[in-house]
Amino acid sequence: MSLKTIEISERLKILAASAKYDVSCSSSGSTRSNISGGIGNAAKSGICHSWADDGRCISLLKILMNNNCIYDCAFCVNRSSNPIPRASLTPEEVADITINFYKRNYIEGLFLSSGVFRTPDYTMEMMIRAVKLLRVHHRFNGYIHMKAIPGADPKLISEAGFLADRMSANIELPSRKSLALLAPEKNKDKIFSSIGMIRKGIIENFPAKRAKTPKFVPAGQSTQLIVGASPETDFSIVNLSEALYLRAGLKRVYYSAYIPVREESSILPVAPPQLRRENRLYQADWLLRFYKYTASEILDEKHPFLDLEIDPKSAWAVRNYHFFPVDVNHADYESLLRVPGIGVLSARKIIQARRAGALTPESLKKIGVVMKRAKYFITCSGRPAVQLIDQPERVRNILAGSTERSESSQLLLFPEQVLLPDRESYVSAITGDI
Amino acid sequence: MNQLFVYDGTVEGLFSAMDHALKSKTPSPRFTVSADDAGLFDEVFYHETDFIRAKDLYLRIEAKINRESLKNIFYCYLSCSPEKEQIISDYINAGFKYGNKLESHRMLGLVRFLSVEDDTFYAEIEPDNDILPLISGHFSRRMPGEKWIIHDRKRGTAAINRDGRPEILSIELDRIPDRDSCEDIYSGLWKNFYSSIAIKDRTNLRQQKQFMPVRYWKHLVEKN
Repeated sequence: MSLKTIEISERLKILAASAKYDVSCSSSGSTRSNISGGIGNAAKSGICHSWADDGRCISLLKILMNNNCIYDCAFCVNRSSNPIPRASLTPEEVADITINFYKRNYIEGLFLSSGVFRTPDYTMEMMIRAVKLLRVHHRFNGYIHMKAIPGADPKLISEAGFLADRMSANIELPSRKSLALLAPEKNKDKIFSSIGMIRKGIIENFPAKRAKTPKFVPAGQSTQLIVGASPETDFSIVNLSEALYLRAGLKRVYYSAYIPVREESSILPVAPPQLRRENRLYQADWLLRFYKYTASEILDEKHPFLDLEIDPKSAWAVRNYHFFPVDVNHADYESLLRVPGIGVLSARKIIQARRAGALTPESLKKIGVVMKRAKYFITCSGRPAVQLIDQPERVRNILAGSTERSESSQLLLFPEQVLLPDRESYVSAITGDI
Repeated sequence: MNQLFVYDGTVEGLFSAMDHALKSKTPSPRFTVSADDAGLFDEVFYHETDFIRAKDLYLRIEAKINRESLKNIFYCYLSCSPEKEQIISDYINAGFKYGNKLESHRMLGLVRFLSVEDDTFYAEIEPDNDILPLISGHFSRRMPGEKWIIHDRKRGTAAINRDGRPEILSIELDRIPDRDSCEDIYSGLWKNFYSSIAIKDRTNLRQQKQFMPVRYWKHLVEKN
C-alpha cells in the first residue's frame, strides 16, 4: 500500500475530530445482502462496534473528507476563520481505510461528510468518487451514510442517493434568522432544497411490489439540529421536527447540544452544553414518532420550553389532568399510551392481558408499567392504586422529586432504566454477612 | 432416574449444590432439604456446602445474567413454596441461555481481526459463554470470500470460513500467527480514530463500561 503512514494517521485524526459533533451513528434500518464476490452486508438492527470515552456507540467510520471549509458558520468547529489544522483524504484513501477497518470488524460502514472545499459540486463529486470506489471497485455492501452538501447539483445528489443507505442534510439551526446570523453562506432554502431532492428520489424509487427498482437511500433521510446555540424555543424546534417527519418524510431528527467551539463570541453562548435539554428533546421526539402526540400537544406558546425536571409525557399529563384517571381495564390503546409510565410495549401487553381478567396494580407492575409514575394517573376497574391527588401541581412536584434523585448522577436516555442498589447490599443479603 | 441433591437449607448450600449439578452436567437435577422427598428410583446425594462453589455460581450469575436476577433468586429462596428449588434452578438455566444471546449479539461488534500471514484474518476471543457457533454464521455472510479464523482461547475451539460457510474445529495453537506487515498501519489508524472521535466535554466512562464491560477490553485493539 502506498499511503504515507504517519502523515495519513495525522490527517485521519484531524478529520475524525472535525466530524465528531455530528451525533448520528445509527447503522440500522437498511438491509443489503452480500453480492457474490463482494464484501459486507447491512444488518437490519445495526451493530455497535465500540464505545468512545463519551459513552457514544461507534458503529461507522465517521469522518470528513475535507475540513478545509470555505464557509464561516459561527457555530462550527470547521469554520474558515478558526485556526485549526486542516487536512483532506483522497477518495482512494477513504475507500482503502473503510475496507480495511471493515475487514477487521472495527465498523459497520462509512459515515462520510465534508467541509465545502472549492464548490459544493466539487465537494460532492469527491465524496461520490470515494463511495463509488467502495461500491463498484471493492464491491462493498456495508452501510454508507452520506451527507448531502447544500447547494450541490441535483444530479449529484441523485447519484449519491443510489450509492448510499442513508443521506442527510443538516439543518443545524432551527430558524431562518439564526441561519442568516450564524451561517450566512448556507441559507435555509439551499438546505431544504437538498432535503426535497432526497425526498423526491426516495418517492420515485420506492420499491413497488415485486418490481426490481434500484435502491435509493433505503434507510431513509435524517438531519441534525443544534440546540442552545441560538435563541429558538423548544416549541419551535418540536414544531420543525414534526413538519420534517410528516411533510418531508424524514426517518430521524437528531439533536445535538451546542458545545462551545470558541472561547469568546458576541453572538454565541459560552455556557456548558445543555445536555438535559437535549435529552428532553429526544423524549419529545419519541412522543412524536411513536406515541401519536402532536407538537402542539407537547408544547404551546404559553409553555414554549420543555420542563427540565419532568419528562414531556408527564408534563402533558399534568397539564391535561382532566384526562385522568385512565382506567387500565377499559381504556383504549391510545388513552393507555397517554399514561406516564406506560410505554408502547406495556400498553400492548395490557390490552392482551386484560382479556383474561381484570388487571390489578400488582399485575401492571409485572407487565412492566413504571408504577412510580403511572400510579397517580390510573384506576384498575374504578379503584385507584394510591390515593389520587387533586392538585396536578403537587403531582408534578412529586414526579420532579423522584426524577431528580435518579438523574442526579447521570443522565439516562431511557428513563425507564432500573437503578440497582449497590453490590454490597446484595452480597450481604445472600451470604448473610453484615 | 433423577439425581436428588440434599442440601443444608441455607442459600449457600443451595448455590453450592446447583453449582455442582451444573458443572457435572447432571441431567434434570432436583434439590431438597430432606431426603424423605426421594422417589423410589432417585439417586440421593448429600451435598456438603462449599462456600467457594456458592460464590462462584453467584459471580457467574452476576456476570452472565445480571444483578437483578440474584435478587429475584433470593426472594424466591425465602418463599415457602415447596417447589422453590425447582423454580430457581429453571430460572438460572433460562438466564444462562438468554445470557448467551445477549453476549453473542454484543460479540458481533467486539470481535477484532488482525491480518496475519497467508492473507488470513485472525481474531481471538474469550467469551463467558460458548457463543462461537452462534456468531460464526454472521461473519460468513459478512466476509464470504475472505480467509478468517475466530479462535475461542478459553475453549480451544475455532470457527473458520470455508467457501462462505462456517466450520467449527477444536484446535490447539502453540503460537499466535505472525502479523502481516500492514497490520500495524490499520490498527494504528483505528486507535487514532477512536481517541479523536470522543467529545471531551461529554466524557461518560460509566456509560462506556456499561455497554462495553472491561473484561472484553483485553482483545480490543483500541483499548490496548
